[in-house]
Amino acid sequence: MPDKLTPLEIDALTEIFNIGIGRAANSLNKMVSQTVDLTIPEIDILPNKQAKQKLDFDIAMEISAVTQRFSGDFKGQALLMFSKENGLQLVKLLLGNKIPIEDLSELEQDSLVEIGNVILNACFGTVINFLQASISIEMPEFIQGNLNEIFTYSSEYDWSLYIRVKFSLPSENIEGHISFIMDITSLEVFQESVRKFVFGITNPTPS
Amino acid sequence: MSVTILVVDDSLVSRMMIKNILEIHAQGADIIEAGNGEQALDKVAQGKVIDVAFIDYNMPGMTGLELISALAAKLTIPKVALLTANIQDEIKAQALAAGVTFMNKPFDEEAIANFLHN
Repeated sequence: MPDKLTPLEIDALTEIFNIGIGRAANSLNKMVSQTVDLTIPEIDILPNKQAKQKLDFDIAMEISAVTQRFSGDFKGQALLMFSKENGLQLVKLLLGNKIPIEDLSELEQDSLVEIGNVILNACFGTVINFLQASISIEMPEFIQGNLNEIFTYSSEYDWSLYIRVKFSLPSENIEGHISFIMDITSLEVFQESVRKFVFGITNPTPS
Repeated sequence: MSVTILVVDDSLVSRMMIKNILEIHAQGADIIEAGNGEQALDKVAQGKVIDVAFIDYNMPGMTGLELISALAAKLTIPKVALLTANIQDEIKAQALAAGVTFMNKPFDEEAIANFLHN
């Protein structure tokens, strides 16, 4: 079982993802022509079973998700998940009201992949820069299904870096969830990188 | 005369990063830290004169811009920087209208040094 992160390490991780999410908000603002506030009310590292319970999705509920696999210093799968309803709300915002409702679902996949691409890559970008990690990221993929179909993992021993993301737009209030699912070895490497980063701040090199 | 600098950010790590830079570029400064807007207003109410402020935009409770306007009702801070990774035009415009310098996160040492000395 990985060691618990200290409050300072959790603070560092939250700040890293806040910066990534802030950049994503800026890109989304340009895409939807509205002010977009993205905030992270919760971040935690926990076993997948518990991360799954955090998602607040009913087991039968249809979920829209964008996933990206990553490998390198740590490897795993990133998932950005919305309820199907929230996903469609985002698509509508992205495409405007010009698109007839019957065409919306066809464009849903492309639009959500684009949104997922922006958000997940902003997160990856800041993690790579701050933790000085080397990671390759695969192309984003769209998946839809119930919780058990979306939130899959290879082993019960996999862990998740779970992040709750709130999207606040003047007209909407949408919630999404991000999970970085990693095996235990990757998670330990990841935690070590966070610790090194925090050590560098608490013990600055004298200039 | 010693300079007094207010640093408001809900992230302790972020405050430490700023303080590390200030220790190099504003040696001897009196640094007042706060983790949110309410705390900052409490500390400023103690009658301190603030020369420079670094204020995070995205904080629980009041935003950095709301704090800046609440501070402006109490005192004049000659130099205020709004720190954020969220560089949306509307937020930028509000910052500029409030006479505040916009500073991107992650901030770099050079940007903070330039802000302090220019």
